[in-house]
Amino acid sequence: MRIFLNNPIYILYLSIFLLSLSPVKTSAADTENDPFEKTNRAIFEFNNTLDDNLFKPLAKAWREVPDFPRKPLTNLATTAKTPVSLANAILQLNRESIGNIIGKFLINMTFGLGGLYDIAGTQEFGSMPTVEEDFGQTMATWGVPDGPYVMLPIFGPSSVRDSFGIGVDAITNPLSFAYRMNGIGLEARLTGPAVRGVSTREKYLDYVDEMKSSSLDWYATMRSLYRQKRKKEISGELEEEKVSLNILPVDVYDDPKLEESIVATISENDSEIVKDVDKSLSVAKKVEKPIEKVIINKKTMPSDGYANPTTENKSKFIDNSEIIKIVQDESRKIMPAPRVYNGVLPSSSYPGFSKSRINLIN
Amino acid sequence: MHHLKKFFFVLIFLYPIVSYSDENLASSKVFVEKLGKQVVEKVSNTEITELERYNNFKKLYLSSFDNYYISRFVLGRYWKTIDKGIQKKFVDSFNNYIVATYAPKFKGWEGTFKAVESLFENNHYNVKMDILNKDGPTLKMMWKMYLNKNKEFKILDVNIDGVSMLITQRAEFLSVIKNHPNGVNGLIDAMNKKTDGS
Repeated sequence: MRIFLNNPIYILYLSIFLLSLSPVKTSAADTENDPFEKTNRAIFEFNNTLDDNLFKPLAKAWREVPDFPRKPLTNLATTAKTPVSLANAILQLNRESIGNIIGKFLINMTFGLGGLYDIAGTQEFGSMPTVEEDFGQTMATWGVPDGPYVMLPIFGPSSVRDSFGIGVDAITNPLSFAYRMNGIGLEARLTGPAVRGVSTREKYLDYVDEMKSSSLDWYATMRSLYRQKRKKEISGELEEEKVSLNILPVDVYDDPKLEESIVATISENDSEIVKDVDKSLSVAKKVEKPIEKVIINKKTMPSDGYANPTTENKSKFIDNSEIIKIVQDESRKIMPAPRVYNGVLPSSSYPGFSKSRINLIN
Repeated sequence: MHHLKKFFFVLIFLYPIVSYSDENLASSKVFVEKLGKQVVEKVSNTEITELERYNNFKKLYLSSFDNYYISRFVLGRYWKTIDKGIQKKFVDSFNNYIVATYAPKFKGWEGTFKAVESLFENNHYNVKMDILNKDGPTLKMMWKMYLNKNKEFKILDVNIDGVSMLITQRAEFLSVIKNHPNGVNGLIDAMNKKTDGS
């Protein structure tokens, strides 16, 4: 305990952790939870300069390295992170992740020549994805809020909770103990994170350049990208998007005159393409009636604003939905509710469908 | 026997709904695949001029995306604070900004769009798609769309690897408005400047 209290780094992390738990004063409109924006922007500028002059050229050079030794080195660096991921998967009691991490590790350590080759990721072994868990995610599963957004020097976008997580992962990494016990210096210890960092930067080279060139506020874009990506890694869902779309006012098209003028502008040039698209939708048009009957009462689609049904029609739809409800209730009495496959596979890697915390980039 | 009758009655009654779902789910996949094909033919083509590329992409964007809804969404709470003239100006500038930003990115792109699965959730059609790059990794994305009153599919959002383009764009715009002394007008100016510069 004394060791912890005597070490300023531990005290710093403890302070950050406590800060993440404390409520932060933000205005109602300040939904981005970024009270340190001014400082964060300054650090972001520093990171960008560092990226332009160091990380980006390194990533470009890394891309030019032949597949051998580039891929084996990357795989080795990824495998070296396994103990941390496994420890966090256990802390989260995430059976799927635990199984995946152990399975992949064993396959790659044996058939993959000690982790040099990602054999488990090949089709023959079922294309096992690389699962990475960190202490930030673990704390999230324990209910710790992410806290204010922070921009870390070199590490980049993070939150108070995740910053604390990075520190805990670094301190508790079993490999760190092994390095220290065997007298391995800091330079050698940093090889793994450095290779992982450069490799990740290389993957995003084109994507980041494109986003940056078209962005009006690169800092705000990065903040949003980080938040969304992190949310998905933790919960496996796109909750924010669903909520955002559903809370939209149904009066999106509440101004018929403005809508008409915009639709008229749009229609001027696109008749040819609309025709093309219409052909592909001919099947849909044949069955157009039941569509309205089913969805008209839900009032969550922007198209509800388009339809503008008359009161008479509306009442018909309501009647119809009530009939459907009665019939469905009756059917439940005859037979139990079937288990419906909802299209969500635990290992699905499509955005919005994944229930696991699989790192899709890998 | 009585229960069996009821069961068949339920089946017959629900048949049109099931049929509607299947047909539209299939159509939603056809829609995005066709859109992808048109992008390759009319936007990626290296033999056309930049102006033709811009115009072709604009036509595809305006006919396939619900750009009015998107415009309103990305402006968030500020939409109601501006008058109708500025709203119209914003929609026009935003459309031009999107087209000018994305049209050049498709130049010379080669690959195919393969719709993998379509699901009807929360009144939206979510179509999962693989974009098979000719030279590069397969990109997995999801289209969020709906059927409008004319029974045309309109795209609301594109999600790539868990990142919603709609939410990202809104976060960026709200930040620009917050930090610009002219608010929404400042954002419109910034968009126009970017569009003119590209």
